[in-house]
Amino acid sequence: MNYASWVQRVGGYLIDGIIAGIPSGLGALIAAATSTDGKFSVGGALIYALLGMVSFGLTIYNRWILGGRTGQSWGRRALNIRMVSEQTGQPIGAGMAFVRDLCHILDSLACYIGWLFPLWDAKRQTFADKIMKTVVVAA
Amino acid sequence: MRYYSVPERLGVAGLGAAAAAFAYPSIVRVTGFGLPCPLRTLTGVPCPLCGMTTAATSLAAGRPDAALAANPFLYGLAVLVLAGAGLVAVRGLGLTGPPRPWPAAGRRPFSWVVAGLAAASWLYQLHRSDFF
Repeated sequence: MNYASWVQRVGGYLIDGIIAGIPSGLGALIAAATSTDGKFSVGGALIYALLGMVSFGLTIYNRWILGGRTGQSWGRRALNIRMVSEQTGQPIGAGMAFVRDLCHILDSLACYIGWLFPLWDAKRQTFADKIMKTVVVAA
Repeated sequence: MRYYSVPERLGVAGLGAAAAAFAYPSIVRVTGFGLPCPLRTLTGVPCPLCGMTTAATSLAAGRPDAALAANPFLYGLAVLVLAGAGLVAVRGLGLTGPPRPWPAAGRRPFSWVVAGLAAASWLYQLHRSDFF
């Protein structure tokens, strides 16, 4: 199987993160610009909260619905890679994609070492991949 | 794209980490966001790699003594990174052949060495944090 490289995986993750972070980042800027004495104005805080929800919505759609149903989030599509089940070779579905992202907490918990695991692992899996039995491969 | 061996991948990733070590203090100063150890934050217990960020940024800032005190294993990692990066360069220049995968029997002792070093690093961090 042609596993995706660590650089491709990081790249895909960064693109997903940047896309999802744009609305909330914009909200933070607006809230900061309209704040007085270091306190957010009501309007600024509302805009920040709304744009934060837009970011969360983008994550739900991109990472879990799109990524789970097709194997390709926007970031993975840009890097020409896809996340599939190790056993079937098919996308794992939105629910399991959400659980997989939850499992990424374990990748961070142990000194972030789980994120580095694809550098030396034979199947280039993170801890989350091993738990969910998923692999990231060339599309 | 050619196949990169594990040491080569670690070498390139390590060079990236070294570059990040130069930028990290400025990023923290500007944004206020650091990279906490999740295990230490949640449990108070340091992990085997604790002190590595401090050691790397200290070395990048030209303070080798502070780096040694924070995590002496950084120096071992630095040697591995330089060796891996050197291998990338040597292969890139065509001075040696393509990498050959290690047999499972060859990987096992190496895994034990890595596990032993991680255990030693953890003991050092526990001692540094006054656990014993």
